[in-house]
Amino acid sequence: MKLRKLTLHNVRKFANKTAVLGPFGDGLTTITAENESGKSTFFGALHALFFYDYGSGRKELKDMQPYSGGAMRISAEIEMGGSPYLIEKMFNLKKAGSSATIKDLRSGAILKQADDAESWITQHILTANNGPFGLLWVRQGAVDVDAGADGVNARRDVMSSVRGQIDAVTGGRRMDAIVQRCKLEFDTISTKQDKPKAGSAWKEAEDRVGLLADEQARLQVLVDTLSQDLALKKKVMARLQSLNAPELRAMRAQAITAAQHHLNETREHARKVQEADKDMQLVQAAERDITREIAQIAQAQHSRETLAAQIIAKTEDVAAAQKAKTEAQKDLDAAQGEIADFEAKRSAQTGLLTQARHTERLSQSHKRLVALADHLTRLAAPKDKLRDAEALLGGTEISKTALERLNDLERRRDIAIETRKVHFARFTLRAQSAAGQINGVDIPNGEARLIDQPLDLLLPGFGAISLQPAAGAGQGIEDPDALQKSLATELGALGVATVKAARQAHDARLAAAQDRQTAQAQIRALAPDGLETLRQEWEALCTALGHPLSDLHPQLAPTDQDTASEQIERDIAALDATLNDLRQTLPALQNALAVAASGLTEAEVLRARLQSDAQDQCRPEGEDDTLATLSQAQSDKRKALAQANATLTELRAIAPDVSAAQATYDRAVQTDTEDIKEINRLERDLARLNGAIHTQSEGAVEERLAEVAGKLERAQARAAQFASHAQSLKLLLSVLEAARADAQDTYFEPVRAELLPLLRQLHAGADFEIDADKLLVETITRNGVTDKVDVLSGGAYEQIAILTRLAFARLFAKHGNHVPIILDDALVHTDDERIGTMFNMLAQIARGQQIIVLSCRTRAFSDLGGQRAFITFSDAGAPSTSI
Amino acid sequence: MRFIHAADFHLGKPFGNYDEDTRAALKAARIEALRATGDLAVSRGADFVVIAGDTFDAEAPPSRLVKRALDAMAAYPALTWVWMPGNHDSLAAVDLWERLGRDKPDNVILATTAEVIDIGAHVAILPAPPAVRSPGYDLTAWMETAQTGDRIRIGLAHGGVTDFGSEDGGLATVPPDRAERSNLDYLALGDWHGQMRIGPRTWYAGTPEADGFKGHRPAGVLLVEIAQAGAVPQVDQVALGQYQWSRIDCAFFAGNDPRESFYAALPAQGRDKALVRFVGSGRLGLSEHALLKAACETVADDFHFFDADLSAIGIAQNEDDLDLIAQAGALRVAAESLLAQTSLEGRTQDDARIAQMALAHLFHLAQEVGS
Repeated sequence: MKLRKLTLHNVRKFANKTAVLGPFGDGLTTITAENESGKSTFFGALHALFFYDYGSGRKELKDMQPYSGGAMRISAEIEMGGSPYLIEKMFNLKKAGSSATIKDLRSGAILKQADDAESWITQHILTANNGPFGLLWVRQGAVDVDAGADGVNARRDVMSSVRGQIDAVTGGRRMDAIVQRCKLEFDTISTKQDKPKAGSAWKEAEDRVGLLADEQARLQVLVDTLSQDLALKKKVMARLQSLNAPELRAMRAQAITAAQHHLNETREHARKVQEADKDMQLVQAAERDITREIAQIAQAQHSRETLAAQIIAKTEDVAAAQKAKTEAQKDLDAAQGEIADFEAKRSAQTGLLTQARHTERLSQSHKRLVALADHLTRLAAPKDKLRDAEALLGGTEISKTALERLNDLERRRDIAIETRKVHFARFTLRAQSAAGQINGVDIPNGEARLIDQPLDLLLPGFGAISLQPAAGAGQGIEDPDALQKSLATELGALGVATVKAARQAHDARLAAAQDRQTAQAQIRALAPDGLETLRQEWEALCTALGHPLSDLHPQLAPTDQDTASEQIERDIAALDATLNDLRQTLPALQNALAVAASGLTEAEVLRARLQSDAQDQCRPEGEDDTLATLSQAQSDKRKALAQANATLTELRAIAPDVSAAQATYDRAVQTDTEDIKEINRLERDLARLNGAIHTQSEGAVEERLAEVAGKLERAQARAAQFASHAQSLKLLLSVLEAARADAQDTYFEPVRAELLPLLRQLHAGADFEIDADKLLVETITRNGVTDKVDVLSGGAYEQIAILTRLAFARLFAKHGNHVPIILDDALVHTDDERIGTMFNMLAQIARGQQIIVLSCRTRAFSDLGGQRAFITFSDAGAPSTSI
Repeated sequence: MRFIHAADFHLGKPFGNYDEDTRAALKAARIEALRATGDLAVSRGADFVVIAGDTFDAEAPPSRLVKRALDAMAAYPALTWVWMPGNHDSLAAVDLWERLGRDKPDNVILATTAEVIDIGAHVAILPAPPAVRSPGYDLTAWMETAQTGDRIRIGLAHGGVTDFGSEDGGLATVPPDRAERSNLDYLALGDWHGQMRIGPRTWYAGTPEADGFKGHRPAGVLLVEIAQAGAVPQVDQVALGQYQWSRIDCAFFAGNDPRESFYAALPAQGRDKALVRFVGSGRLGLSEHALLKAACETVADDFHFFDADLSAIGIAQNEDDLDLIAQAGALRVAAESLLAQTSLEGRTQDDARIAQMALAHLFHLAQEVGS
């Protein structure tokens, strides 16, 4: 197909105007005009002519209406198979007033109208050669292939529809649709990891399998339990039946009765044995009593004889003890007499000793009185000295520090006086008449006076003289008056008149302190315990001896008593030694007497006790008769005992075993009791089992288990069907995509062959790769560097895009399918150097290909060459004006 | 003397792998079979009915089901039912038999011990009730020495015959010549769900209401007539089942319209009471396969239950079919690749089956998408 001319009436800016664009040549046609000249309006209208139904009221058509409204007429003259046709549509945005017409321009005949015309367009233009409308359209910016194409899918759709040859190889839209359907179906039920997808029917089926398997396991447990309960119930019933069998019950009762009877007999025999044993024991006890009585009588007789012998022997012991006691008393009395003699001698010597010691104490008191009188005499001098010193020390103290301060003041006063004399001028007034005055005070005549301050001298008859000390004179010198005043104050405080008096008072005080210390030492030597103690002792001795207190010269009395008292003491000591020796012999003598007395008493007590016992054990009357009677009775009992023992032995020999009989009875009773217990237990078990079985049977667990098993089998089959379906979809997808990839490789080879020489005219030595999915150049390699096309500059990108379309168009043309290429404001980013090369290639390809180029770049595109087309206007179809 | 020989009612069988409606209908039909047996006995003048085991499908059926069964028998008070346990409802189901013994109507005799049961003055029933589900030994041995005088001796047993087998795959312990060895006039057997003659005096009654696609004869009971002791019994196979279970195997060949064979193989009558499992085999082209599949979907609702298994039908290589997918190009290449993968050569059956599914789906999608 080739476009020849486009005509618009009342479209967009061409309100109430008819605009014509054309003619379009076989090869390259250029339309250059300024922006807003209406170029794009033409190709928008061409799109509407091919794609929009004439009766449509869609928004895109409304947008094409001028502001004044009204029907739009769009027509295109085309050439197909060497024949010219006119396609014309009147768009009134509704069916009424709209029309579509196909006219054979050669014959002028209208071929189709209305819907038939639309069908003709679809058949001959849109789907011709399995393509849509036989156009490759590159709009401004050269990004999209077609107007309205949006994204990969739209581009693929357009590209797929364009290439009839591609379809034949790759499957085209059918392949796309089938692959999409497969993917959709697969994605609906499966994840990419071939697992059931959440929310899908497959997942639902798998989940149901899981749920049913769980339910089956749960029910299987119940059914197994039911089966066990049934088996157990059968055993319980069988056991109950055997336990409740009348034969068994009768046998048990008979066994108990027989055992009871045997036990009773056995117990009766045992009672007889017990009685025989009791009888024998009674006889045995009586015989033992008689024997014991006979033995007691013999024992009493023997005891009496023994007592008589013991009394005789004890009487002899009493006599011997009496004798020993008498001799001991005699020895003790002799010793005590001797001790009394020596004690009388000692008493006399003690009286003599007391007298001698009184005399000695009186002599000692006299000696002490003399010594005290001497001390008192010697104490008089130090006491006086002490009193005098303390009297002196009691006055005001002038310390060493105070004395030094007085000396300092005195020295500084003297220095100040003398220094002032050196520093200040002096004057001496020797007045002849009246004395002069200073400040109203007379000035001693002839006496030198220092000018140490401003002085106003009034000299009677002369006048006044003002005297001034030299400036700065006297600075740094102390005031002697002030110092004198301080000295006087200090002396007054110390109670002395002069510094010298102060020094003397200080020295006298030091001497008094020395005297006091000496006197105190002397007093301490003579009266270590103090003067008061000495005085009290003196007064006490004077009183005791009758000596006057004031007499400090007593006389000593001579004595020789010391020697006498010592002799007496030696005599008393000798007497005490003798007494001590005698007293030490007394305990032995006293002890011997006590032992002898004790032996006597013991012998007498024993003898009296034996005599008492002998009286108690006097022989009873008729003792011999009693003994004879008892002997006879003893003999009788022994015979009876032998008889009873024989009877008991005989009974025991034939006695049945009570324990065995009891055990037999117990066993019979216990067996029966245990039977009853077991019956009760089994009946309880049976009730429980009946309850459990009833519950499960009413719940129809076996039926439900079989039902769930069937459902599970069905669910598993359904899940398996989904799994198989997913597998088959995956296989189908892989096979389809592999086939399409192979086909695309096959297909792109001729595209590469067409595109490569075109690309290398722009970029020498460049190579490229095509994106099999986008059907566009994906990467370009220049000078060994590979770049993705979408990161290239706008110019390079649009050039590659245009070249790709040109290559497709050349390929189609070789297959006899001429596809017009419309470049609508393309190459806007291409610089002047490249645009020349692009123009060359466009001119080269346009030799066998219709290319229509629209651009606002009037100057740049003026060099493109080719046929030029213009927009013209006419009212009645004839051109009147051109742009 | 005339009696009904019935067995294997399997009351309460759940049919879990069928849809809810089918399950309910099949379960109800089994109770109805009990009533139909009673009706038949009355209408054909039978003296009694013997049930050779497996009246219930489970050992502990719910009480309402037991009640319905007893009510069904009680509805024919003049008819005696001799009811023996089977392997499904053996004497191990003590609770069931205890309940039956307690609640049964007077016209029901429970054959729960291996002892002679006298019916009237001329018939002796010799039952061999299984004490457990799989006794593992011949329960009929006692019949050899059982004394019955001059009565007609009818043995009653449940289980497999030793040279034949058992329905559930259990041990087969009944000797095939038990009737002859034990001087039985007739041995009424249960367990096998199809009616079957083992010998002139030995029969399986089968289930009165079919329960599977095993291909048994029409389900029902046996009407047995014995003129006198020692006479050869006359056995009439009476169909009672409401539902017709059919497994239909059909082989297909490419090049023919498969629908013709398919429709011809299906039962023409009583489809609302028919359960059909259709199993296809052979080889069909893709378009033929699609036609057959569509036909299956069309007729499915005619039947009470319809299930078609077409997985065994191979794909026949047919250029026309592949042309319908695509005459050339990638789609054609993909279709040919899948077709090659449907061959079993060098691959597993499952892989070939998946490839077959994929190819059929491609065919289906290609037709849907159009040209």
